Amino acid sequence: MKFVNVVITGVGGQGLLTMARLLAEAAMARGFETLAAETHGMAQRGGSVVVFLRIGEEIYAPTFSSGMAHLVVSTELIEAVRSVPYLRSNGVLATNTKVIYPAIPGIYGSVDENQVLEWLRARIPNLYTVPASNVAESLGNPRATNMVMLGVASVILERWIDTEYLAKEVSKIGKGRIAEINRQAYERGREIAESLRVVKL
Amino acid sequence: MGLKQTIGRESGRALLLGNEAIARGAIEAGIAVATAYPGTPSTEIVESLAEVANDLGIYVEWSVNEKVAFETAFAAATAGARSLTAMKHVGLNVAADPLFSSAYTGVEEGFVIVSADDPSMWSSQNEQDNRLYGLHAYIPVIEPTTLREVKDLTKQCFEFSKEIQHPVILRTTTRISHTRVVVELGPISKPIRRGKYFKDPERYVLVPSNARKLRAKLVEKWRSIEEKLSSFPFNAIEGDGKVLIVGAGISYSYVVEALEHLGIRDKVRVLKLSTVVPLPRDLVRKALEGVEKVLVVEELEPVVEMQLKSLVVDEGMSIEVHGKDLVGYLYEMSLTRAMRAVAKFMGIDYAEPSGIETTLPSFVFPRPPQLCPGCPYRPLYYALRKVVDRLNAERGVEHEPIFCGDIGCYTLGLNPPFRLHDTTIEMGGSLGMANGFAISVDDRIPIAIIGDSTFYHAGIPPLINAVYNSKPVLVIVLDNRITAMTGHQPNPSTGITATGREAKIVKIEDIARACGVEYVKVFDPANIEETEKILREAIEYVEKERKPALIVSRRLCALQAVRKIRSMGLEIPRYFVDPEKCVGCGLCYNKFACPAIRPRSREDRKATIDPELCTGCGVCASICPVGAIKPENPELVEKVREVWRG
Ligand SMILES: Cc1ncc(C[n+]2csc(CCOP(=O)(O)OP(=O)(O)O)c2C)c(N)n1
Ligand code: SF4
Repeated sequence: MKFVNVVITGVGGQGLLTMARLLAEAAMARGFETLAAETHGMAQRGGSVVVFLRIGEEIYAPTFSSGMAHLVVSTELIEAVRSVPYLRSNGVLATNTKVIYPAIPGIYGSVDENQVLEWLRARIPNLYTVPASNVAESLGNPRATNMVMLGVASVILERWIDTEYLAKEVSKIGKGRIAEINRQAYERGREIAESLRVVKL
Repeated sequence: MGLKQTIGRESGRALLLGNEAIARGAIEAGIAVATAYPGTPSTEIVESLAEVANDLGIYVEWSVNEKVAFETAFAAATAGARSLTAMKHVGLNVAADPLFSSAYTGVEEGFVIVSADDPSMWSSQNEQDNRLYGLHAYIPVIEPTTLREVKDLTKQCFEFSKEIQHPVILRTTTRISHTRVVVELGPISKPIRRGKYFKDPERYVLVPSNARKLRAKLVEKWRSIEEKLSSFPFNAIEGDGKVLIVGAGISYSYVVEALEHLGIRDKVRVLKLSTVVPLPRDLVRKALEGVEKVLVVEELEPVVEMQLKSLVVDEGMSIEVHGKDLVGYLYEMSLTRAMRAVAKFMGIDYAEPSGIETTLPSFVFPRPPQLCPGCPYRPLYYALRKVVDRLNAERGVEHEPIFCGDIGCYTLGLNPPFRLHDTTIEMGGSLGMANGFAISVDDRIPIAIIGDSTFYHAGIPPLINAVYNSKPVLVIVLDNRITAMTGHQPNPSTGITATGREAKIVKIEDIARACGVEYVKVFDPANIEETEKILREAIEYVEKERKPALIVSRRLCALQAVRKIRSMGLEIPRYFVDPEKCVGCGLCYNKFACPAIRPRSREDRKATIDPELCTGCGVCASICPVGAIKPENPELVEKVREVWRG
């Protein structure tokens, strides 16, 4: 069986389902079979969201287990760590560097971001950390963080998706200024991935 | 892309959510009526049908609860309209009464009941297995075994229901309902409806004399249904070997990959089983020919295993049957679980896939779901906790009201810093339980906390009960004008129907008054001062008068407000914290607990607002004791104020 297993993760409300849907559509446009198992309901209210995306010639199971992911893409740093157990031994991790804290009194500021990055670096040879939130904010819409990470993922998954199709679909999200920022965020994500010389699965 | 984008296409491929694939199958089968009460993971079936209803000339509604949804679709099917009703697993409990009766009467057109079960309880209060309803109520249960067959299987369910003149349960699970899959589109049929009712009281009036006859017929019909299911096109016997593995429902998909992974796909016989209730005995007999042992792989209860064991006993076969002993009962299927069970069954060595790291470092904090930034429930809960804490200080915490919670986003009042909820059992349970505490607890009054949608669904009978039996109960209805938890479906408080038509608003305060509640008030929780005043007054009223009171906390769901503000072409007002003024007391991020506000750093406890999360609701500005939080653009704040009030 030839396939790729991807975990798309982050915090509910960050636009993870949109990312997963666009990647799955782009995989279909490339002629592959694809399954994207989403998280709905409770977790979308600011909880951890995990989407299992599978692309290949013949796939059956909608989810996969620990140690089976070729790639984890995260829009938030702590969620990236939470999903590390999904990674295969030579798996790839691409993550936003921002930490989003839950509104639980006492947790704010409890994490030292450098310590987190060190923990990741010590374990994951194919690690790409991207300041996606900063990029989105500098473009004028902090909510376009997911598009930056989508751009990064689109380069890593280049062999599994139709990137032209994806670029076209990205430009259809939102209207006017929002749409333009989304497009730019996606392109910036791609440039960052190229400059990091990411692994292409 | 969604179901709507596939309308007008009769071939080619589309990526659809499992639930949309069911919806597409239903319109290809020619449904005329679809009804539902929302519930994860079933919601998108009727939600997507609602979007195409006007184009296709089908009738689609959000009903007030599952029982009404069931009865509406069922009646339509007895009147010759092809119908679908969809609900989450626990929704079928609410609709169980008509479900049982529908097997006695049968139907005249195809009637499919979609039961979306939730193994692992991703969004539910329990893990019940609704295949058991099929056995109990004499209604066949059919399940997809792969994602790619979902659409065509749905179509087949309608054909089968029509053929046997009997309701059919199409059972999905979360991973079917909420997985996107590539679907091959087919032609859409015209809605099948007769528009006429033919009188047949012997069939449809279930007085005992009729019911007795129908019961005898039903048992007979069940046999013939079982026979027909042996040739159901979505069942199959695959491969060959001396051992059989039964993949029931979606577990089949996991079995196929597990066998592939273990390198033994060509060594075993597999029964792909889509019709799980009743067990198609002829087919299973064939699958068992020459087999020494069987493993049944299924999620939750041993529904197929029990039926298969009974067949083995009936036939006097000597075959070893495994199932739950190797697969287990709890939670949804996974690849490792399927591999472990198969490996053990086959007696082969199996090494778990080894990853990079299995344990999480201690800095990974939990991330429970929370009320959104701007959620109207936050100021209400903030005020309620404050009022109750003050009362506790005056007369002791042992007299704190009992908070009877219900199901919806507002259940999150359970968590710190509000720590309100004492109970949450099922929909409507807040008011029902409050009725019981009112007569069994002497020194604490019950406060029922219930959402608008839940109030219409199951809150009215227990409210009448409280009035009729004169119970000291305070009811707080959290009216955010939408059914939010399940993804924002309109309800009788919204002013529109499922298909976007304007609708009459059924006002909760009017219902309360009509039910005989004497103390009824409506307020905007963003006005914290007024909210605290009303809460205290209402609690004192109930304690003193020993009668029910009902107050409506009305303010739009934040996600709806933001959507509306954007669609008006306005921006979300931005707020900022003046660092000169902020004293770092932490009230806004600790006591009010808005996820968009946090301390500037570990050392500097002054507040700062995250623009990625803030929805511009402005409540924090009014609770800050030193007035440090301000809008960047006060004019914009004025413009959006009314939107939030709905
Ligand atoms: C019998 C039953 N049907 C459906 C559900 C799914 N469900 C959980 S919460 C909810 C909506 C509650 O809406 P509302 O009361 O308006 O509260 P909100 O989510 O808007 O806060 C629904 C439909 C359920 N848990 N039980
Ligand atoms: S979806 Fe609406 S009701 Fe639910 S938590 Fe968010 S703002 Fe509150």
